[in-house]
Amino acid sequence: MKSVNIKNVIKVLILPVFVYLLFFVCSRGSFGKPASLIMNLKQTLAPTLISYAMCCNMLCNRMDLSAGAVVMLSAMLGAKMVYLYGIGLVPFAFIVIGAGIVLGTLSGVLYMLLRVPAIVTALGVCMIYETLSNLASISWVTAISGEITTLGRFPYCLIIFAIMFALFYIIFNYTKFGYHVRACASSQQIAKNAGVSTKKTAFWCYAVSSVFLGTAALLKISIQGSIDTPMYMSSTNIIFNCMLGIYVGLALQQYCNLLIGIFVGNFILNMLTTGLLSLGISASLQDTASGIFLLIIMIFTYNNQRVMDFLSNRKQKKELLKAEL
Amino acid sequence: MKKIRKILAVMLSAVMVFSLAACSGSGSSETGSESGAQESASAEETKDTEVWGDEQGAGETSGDENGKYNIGVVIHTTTDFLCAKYKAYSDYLGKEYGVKFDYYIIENFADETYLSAIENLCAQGVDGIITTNFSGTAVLQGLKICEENQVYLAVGWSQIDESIKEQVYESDYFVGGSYESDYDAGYEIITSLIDAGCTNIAAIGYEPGITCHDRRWEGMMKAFEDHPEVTKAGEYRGLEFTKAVEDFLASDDSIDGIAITLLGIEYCSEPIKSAGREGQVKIAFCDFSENCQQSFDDGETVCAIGGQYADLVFPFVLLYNALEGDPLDKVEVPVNFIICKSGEEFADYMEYLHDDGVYAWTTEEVDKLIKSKNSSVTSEDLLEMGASYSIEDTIERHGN
Repeated sequence: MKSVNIKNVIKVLILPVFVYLLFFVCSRGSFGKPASLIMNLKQTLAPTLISYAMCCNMLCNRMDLSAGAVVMLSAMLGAKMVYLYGIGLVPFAFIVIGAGIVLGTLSGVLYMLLRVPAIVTALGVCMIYETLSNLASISWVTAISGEITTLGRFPYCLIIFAIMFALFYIIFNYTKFGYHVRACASSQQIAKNAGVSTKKTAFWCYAVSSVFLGTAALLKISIQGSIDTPMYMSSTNIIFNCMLGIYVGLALQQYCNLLIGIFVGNFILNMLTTGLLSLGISASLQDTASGIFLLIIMIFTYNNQRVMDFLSNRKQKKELLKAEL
Repeated sequence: MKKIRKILAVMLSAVMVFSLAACSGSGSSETGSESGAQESASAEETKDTEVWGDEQGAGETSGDENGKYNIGVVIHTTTDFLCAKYKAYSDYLGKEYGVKFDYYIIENFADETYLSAIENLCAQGVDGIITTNFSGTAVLQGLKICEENQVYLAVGWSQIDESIKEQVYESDYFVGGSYESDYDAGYEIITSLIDAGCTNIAAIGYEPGITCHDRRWEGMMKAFEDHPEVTKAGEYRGLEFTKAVEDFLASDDSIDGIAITLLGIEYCSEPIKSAGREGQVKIAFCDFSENCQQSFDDGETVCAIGGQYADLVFPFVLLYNALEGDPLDKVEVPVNFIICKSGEEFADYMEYLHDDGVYAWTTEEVDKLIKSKNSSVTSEDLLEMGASYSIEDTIERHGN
């Protein structure tokens, strides 16, 4: 059992280590210094929380495209309160998280009441929240600075992340809601027949998601010190990378807990961006390079078991042939 | 329950439609005596009104509420450091010359957004329009709408594309415009970082498509070409500036300078602190903000370039003369940027050019540009004004 665990740990770590080594070698050592990795770790925290927020809905085949807009609007409201009234850190944190909870839950309520596909509701809500962000913004960017960004610094950001990780770990693995989500993820119909209230589970997915989106908004603005005004549905940019993190997590799920897989996925994506930058790849090519690289990783991760099976089958066949001869 | 759902669905649709309408603005001018109220209200109240009030988006006005002329202004905001001053200047000029300004706030810089803004302002019955940052060949389409509605058009903060210049100048409804030396500003951003001792500089710019930002970027790239001794740590052109700064700092710990075509302090300060590189990374950028003084004093900013609010005078004068029936020759005025490289220079900018009630040119000076008041004025005078715009020039004219 122990050897299996170690094997799994190695399998999970092989991806980030591979990405790290690749860029370390290609950039001739300019990428991957400890300070860079710490920065990468910090950059991973908020996207991972957004991934957790989206995870339950995504598992149940609901695409919540409004998650990015919830994060941006919550952060914008908090920053605006600081700008207008010079509020302190505690009320700021409460406003950002509170706004996230209210806005995220509202998305869920609308989904429940409207009974239209989740993606349609999410698009509508996303547009409304983006417009509200626009109306509330001062300029291209709304910034905060000084003590108000304390929660974005070490060790506070790590503590917040650790608390949220533990909370989600418990919710996802040890609560009735978590079991229901996993049941719905396998098959909504079977879950329904087994007595799971899919409606109630859907609502709780949004409610739980909203807590994590609010906290992600707090971490994001505290670490970055500013929040951009969304335009052209740019709030969805935030969530696409987080969705990729979830996909990597799902691919790694066979070797580790989904939550750890999602964290590793987001960390890899951040390393990928900084790695490509350290290679001097121009901005216009970075997206293309990230896309191709990500595809390679996903192909490898999803198919490595098949390759291993193929190799072991061939070995077995050879051995059988040998024995027959 | 079904009824409630239907009602909610209709309400959501209505809100979505409303939000789309709000995105493209409306420019209604019926409400709003905001400008008048601004002067009398306390600073805090004014700030609240600007940020949360009904004035944002629809119905923002400035100048003389009952003015004889009505000029529409297409702009992306009126609440930041630059645009709030731009609006205050229009209020100051409008009250003197009997002009009401209707602000039309745009959510993005897409051609369709500008064209829709121009259409709406024309439908609203304005006499002239100033479009800020109106780039590319869409100016021709905008001008066509203006011709159909017999509305004069002036362009601010942007130069007419060379390929369509002749066609634009042929139109009776194009009066001229003004633009800043964005290419030189981009060049200056890089050279000032080099002068400050930076040797590994990351370049960050707004996504391609807006003429002023494109030219700043070209200037930055030319400076890198002319200074091969300096390393360009990388390029980023997009919309996620803070993340770009974070990524640069994470990818290379020898970066000691960040050049950015907009709002440097807001996008760079916290990521620099967050990376533990405070004091090691210098920044240079376009667009002043409230935080410039502190950043200069801390030694973080080595060059900030701005002061573009003064640009308003040129489209205004060109439009006003045309509306009075005595237009000046069509001209696009290159206007200097204000370049600050120290806290003292920025303090001077604030004192002589930006603080409340202080403007680049007073109405007594603008009087000399109005043909009905000074028949000898020519477009050459505007060119001279644009070329001499500086802190020193303003101190000379207005300093005690």
